[in-house]
Amino acid sequence: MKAADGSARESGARAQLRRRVELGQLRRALGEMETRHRSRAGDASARGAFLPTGFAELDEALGGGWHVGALNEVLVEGLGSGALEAFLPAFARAHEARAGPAFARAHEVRAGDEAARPRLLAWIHPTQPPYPPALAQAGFDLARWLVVRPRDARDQAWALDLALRSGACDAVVAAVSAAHGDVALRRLQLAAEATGTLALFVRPPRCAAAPSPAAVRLRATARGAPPESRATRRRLEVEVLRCRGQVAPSLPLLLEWSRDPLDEPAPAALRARAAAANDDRDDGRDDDRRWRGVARRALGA
Amino acid sequence: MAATMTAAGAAWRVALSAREGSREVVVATTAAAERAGVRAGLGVAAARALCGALRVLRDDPARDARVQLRLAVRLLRFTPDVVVDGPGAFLLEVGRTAHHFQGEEALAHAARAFLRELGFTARIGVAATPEAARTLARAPRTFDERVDDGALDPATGTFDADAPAFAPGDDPAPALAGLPWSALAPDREAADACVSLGLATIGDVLWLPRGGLAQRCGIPFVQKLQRLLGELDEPLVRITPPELFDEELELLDAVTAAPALLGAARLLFEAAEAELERRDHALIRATLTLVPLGRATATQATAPTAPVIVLAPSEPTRSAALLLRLLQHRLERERVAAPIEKLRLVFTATAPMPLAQERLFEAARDRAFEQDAAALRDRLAVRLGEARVVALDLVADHRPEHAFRLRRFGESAVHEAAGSVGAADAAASAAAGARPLDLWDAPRPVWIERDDRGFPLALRAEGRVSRLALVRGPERIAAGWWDGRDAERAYFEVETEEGARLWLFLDRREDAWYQHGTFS
Repeated sequence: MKAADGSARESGARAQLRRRVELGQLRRALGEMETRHRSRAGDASARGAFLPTGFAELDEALGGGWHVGALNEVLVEGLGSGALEAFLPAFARAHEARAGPAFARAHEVRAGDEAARPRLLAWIHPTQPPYPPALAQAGFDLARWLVVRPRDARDQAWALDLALRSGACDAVVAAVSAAHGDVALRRLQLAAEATGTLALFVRPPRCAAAPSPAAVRLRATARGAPPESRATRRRLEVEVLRCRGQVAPSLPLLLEWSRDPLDEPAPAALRARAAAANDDRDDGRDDDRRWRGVARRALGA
Repeated sequence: MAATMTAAGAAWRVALSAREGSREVVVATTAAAERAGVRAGLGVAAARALCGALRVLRDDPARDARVQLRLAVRLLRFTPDVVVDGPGAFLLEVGRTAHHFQGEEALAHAARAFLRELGFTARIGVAATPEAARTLARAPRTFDERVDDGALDPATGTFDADAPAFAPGDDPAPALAGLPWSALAPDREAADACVSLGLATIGDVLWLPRGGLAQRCGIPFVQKLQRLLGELDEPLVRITPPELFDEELELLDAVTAAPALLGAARLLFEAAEAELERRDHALIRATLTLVPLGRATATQATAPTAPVIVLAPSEPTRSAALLLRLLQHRLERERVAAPIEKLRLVFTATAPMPLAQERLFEAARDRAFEQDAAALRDRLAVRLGEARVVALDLVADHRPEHAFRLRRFGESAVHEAAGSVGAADAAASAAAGARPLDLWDAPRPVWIERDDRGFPLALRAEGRVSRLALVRGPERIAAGWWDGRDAERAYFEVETEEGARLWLFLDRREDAWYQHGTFS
């Protein structure tokens, strides 16, 4: 009786062990599959298809710029931060990222003019279309914009998937709420990878805790411009939370851009400004943040 | 060129019936029905007994005439002069257009292939005069001609009974001389006379003196011979194509399955494509009505409703393939409840095709992308509705909320709206001061404290006061007195303590502050 009991317990332990071994094997197989998939589709860092953000220091932090053929998330606090104003103009040249040999290698297309012909830019947002005069001011050809206004999160996920999968878009810009789960986003990431479409998702900051397959994840916070240049300049603090293939820098970046094409300070002035910006912080008016430096957008590039 | 037509429809067992006294009798059948033993003159009940799957349709000369006219319109691709020459026959003046098709022979073969694709068997005769062409089309293809005409198909070695017949040159007489006179379709009097005179061929008839012939056969027959030889002109009325495209297609079997409907719709779309090509137009919007079984005969109250599908491609198009894809997306989402027996396609809006010249070199490269883009827009619009998939246009208007237009892709740039401005004017509007990317549909009232100049100083919201720093302003806008929505505003761009930038305005007539958007 006792012996039988012991053997039963033993076989139970063995079964448990076997389960653990199997589980481990499964995990390994899954990991292998994932790496194999990565090397086939080529993750953004490996294939190096990037769209420069317009801010040299940010490009450096991101390994070259926005990751083409991947999700890029920007977590933005509140309205009117200026994140879109800072980042959107670069998307007018999104098609140029397709021209490079890196993109051609990853997506089996011939490098050159054909791949680099401008395609659609899709704006997929439940409520608000972008204000066309502002887009025109940012240098966009309005004919390239396709504006989609889905009714709800489900329709939005569907529309995003369709747009990313179609290959008809250079970039897809969307305000993506926290309602979209990890699985839905992973699906979108695969769609973007398959066609080499750049996806820029603007998300609320509470999404920072949720898992996401995005290749790039930034947190953008509005920062007031110094009073003397307020009329022409804007500032935005950007923290790289994650970037595939890069070590996220510990300090946030302060981006500064001008709306006036004639307002173009020399690099030396910029360095001085960075120091001054940090000095501003040192007097402890707001908080004790420090920045790595001030990145300035080169206008008319 | 003359062509006489018979509808093929070989695969279906269909008979046409007509009332004869008190009986309903079969007047025509398809080949498949004939193989099952159904003959003209048979009673409908007997025919049904012979062939279980037989579908009997009432013979309707008016419907036949409609179909014939539609067919005539499609034959306009071969020449602008098409004449409906009695039931089942057409005359085409091809003398001036044959060179586009590499000669009359090639044109005749092309026309025959085209009609065969549509389900009709055509017998074609080509000659210098209409009467001669008719005679050639009517004439039996004799053994001798088989060799001369190449009617013996070299590929299959079989005799092609419906091969086009040609009378080359200006004088059709030599080519016609060997044909039996019955090909002239003489009336009773003339036929009797020809028999009693012991004539065999058209050559025999032509050889006789006209005076005697007129006495024996009647004057109409002689006139026919004169028209045949071109001695007498024949007045012909060419068709004028209808302004509105409105085509119906009756299905021989009522269907619910999407693939079968798509197959039928393809024929309609191809007709539409041909029609658009003829007009040099592109389609903006069309409606396709699916008429369910029994709708035609049922009373209004019990009739099932006919689903109407609006086809609005994202760009004006002619492509039947694109329309078909559009319909396919729609059918994926909408179930067809009742079996459909008839499809009707009506154009509701077309536009002249933009000049293709400017696109000549880019066309090849852009085509694949354009198709991708159009397919994406169409698929999005099918699920979300056309109003939710739009393009952006600038409008020259000083009021920010009227300075743009959300344009449906259906209403394309072909119809440039009066107020729309091009890219050149966009630069001019850029000088008008920075605009926010996020402009609200409706400005929201806000509580603003202002300084002694009247500029915004602080924003009071949710019980908090936030100091505002002026970035730009005021930008004064006074416009709209002409349409009753006039505005007199002073716009300010301000920065909050948090660094966010808002776009505020002071409504100078109400003396109230509003927020109109954010520089997001």
